[in-house]
Amino acid sequence: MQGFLWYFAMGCVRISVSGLRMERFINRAVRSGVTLRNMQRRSYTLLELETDLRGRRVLARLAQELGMTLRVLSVHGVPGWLRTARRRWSLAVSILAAAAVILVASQFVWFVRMESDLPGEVQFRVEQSLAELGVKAGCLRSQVDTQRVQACLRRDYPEIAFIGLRLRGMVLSVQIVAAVPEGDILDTDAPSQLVAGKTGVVEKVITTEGRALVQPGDVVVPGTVLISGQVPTQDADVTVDRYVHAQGQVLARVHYRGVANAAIGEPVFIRTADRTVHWVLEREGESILLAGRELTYDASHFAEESYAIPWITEWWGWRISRQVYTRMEQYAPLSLEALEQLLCRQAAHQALQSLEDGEILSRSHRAWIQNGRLYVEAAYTVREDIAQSIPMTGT
Amino acid sequence: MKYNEQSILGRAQLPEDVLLHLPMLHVLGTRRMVIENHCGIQEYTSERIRVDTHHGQIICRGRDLMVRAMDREDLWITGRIETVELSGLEEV
Repeated sequence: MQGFLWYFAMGCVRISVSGLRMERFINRAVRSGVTLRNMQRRSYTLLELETDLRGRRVLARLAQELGMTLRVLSVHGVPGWLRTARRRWSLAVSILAAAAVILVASQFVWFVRMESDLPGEVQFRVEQSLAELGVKAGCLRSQVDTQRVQACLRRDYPEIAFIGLRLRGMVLSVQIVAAVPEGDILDTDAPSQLVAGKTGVVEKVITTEGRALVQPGDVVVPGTVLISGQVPTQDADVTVDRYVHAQGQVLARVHYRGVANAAIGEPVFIRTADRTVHWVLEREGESILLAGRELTYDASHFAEESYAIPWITEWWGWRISRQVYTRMEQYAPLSLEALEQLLCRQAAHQALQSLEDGEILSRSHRAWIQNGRLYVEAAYTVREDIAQSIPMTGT
Repeated sequence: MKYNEQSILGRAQLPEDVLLHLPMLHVLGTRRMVIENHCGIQEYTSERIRVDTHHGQIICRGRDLMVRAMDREDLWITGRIETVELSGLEEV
């Protein structure tokens, strides 16, 4: 690489030499201290070769001496470029200006990409903190002290388990991993009881510790004690209560319901994967589209995301924003059967949102029309463990 | 005299190629060959390159032969090298 750069900086000339006794010319040139490169014998009397600028002068003198014809085909490298630039100064100035702009622009951070699994509100606060610490689009690369920012955010946000900042070119990547909240530490020695967490009909009770207070067929509501940690023990004609950590499973039939509705005869909009990104320059109510293809359909588009570069806003009152448009496909009004199927899926999703683990025993749905709208109710019967452990008080 | 030179070089462990101007060949597969201590080119075509040395000639035959670089000391040949012949090299 260094050799290539040196070769480029010094420049090279491609020359064609024509004449007789070409080998003698080559040997005389080499003995004069000229380095010849990429020699190609085009014909018996024609040779093409590359040499540096000093070698060109030597070869020209030698060719004259030996009665050969020398012709410069091209000049490469910096000297060649300078020779071209001398004739086309506007090109040279443009290239230098572009290089200067790139050089200046590369000193700034233009994109901050954040990957995190934090809740939205916390992520917003983290973004604000990053901006306060000077980490935002438009800041100088040299001002971003990744170690300091990481330390500050770790100190200020207990919700963060890991934060990594990586500056690569003009992009600053921020990766955040949320801390897993500490669960309640279960003291297996403390007396506790199992209560119902949901309304249901008890089907099966498996008691491994404690005393079962319900049996199959009982209807329980949230808060009903299922297995008590208070166990009476007979000890020499005296009954003594012993308190244990109740353990076991209470399987019950639990019913889930969900309702969805939609107007009959109205068109349906569904998002497509067709996205368009616009870069827009805004100032004093005027907006100029800088980049992005034109939107050919207005009604079926909507702005999904808008992001402004604050550095521009702060300095010149301008705002450059990135707007993402996603095309919405409009479908004709669905038939009643198709709409019922669509609502059935929505109702089922709504009904089973709170289900964590269980076995679906039966499912049903019913539909009715009311005030020009179609309603669908989905009902599910699920067998699941409804027992929740709570500590016993007053023991 | 030569025997004496060789024995002296051998005892002194001096590089023979430099002091006796012996040609040194480096051949990389059939694609590249570097000749050190040459005296110039006697013949140069795309099928044959004849290189003169202080003690004889080295003839390189092949196809699409090309002198990639050449200076006073080294000669770098590329192309499809088929045979390399050491012709007239005196025993040193």
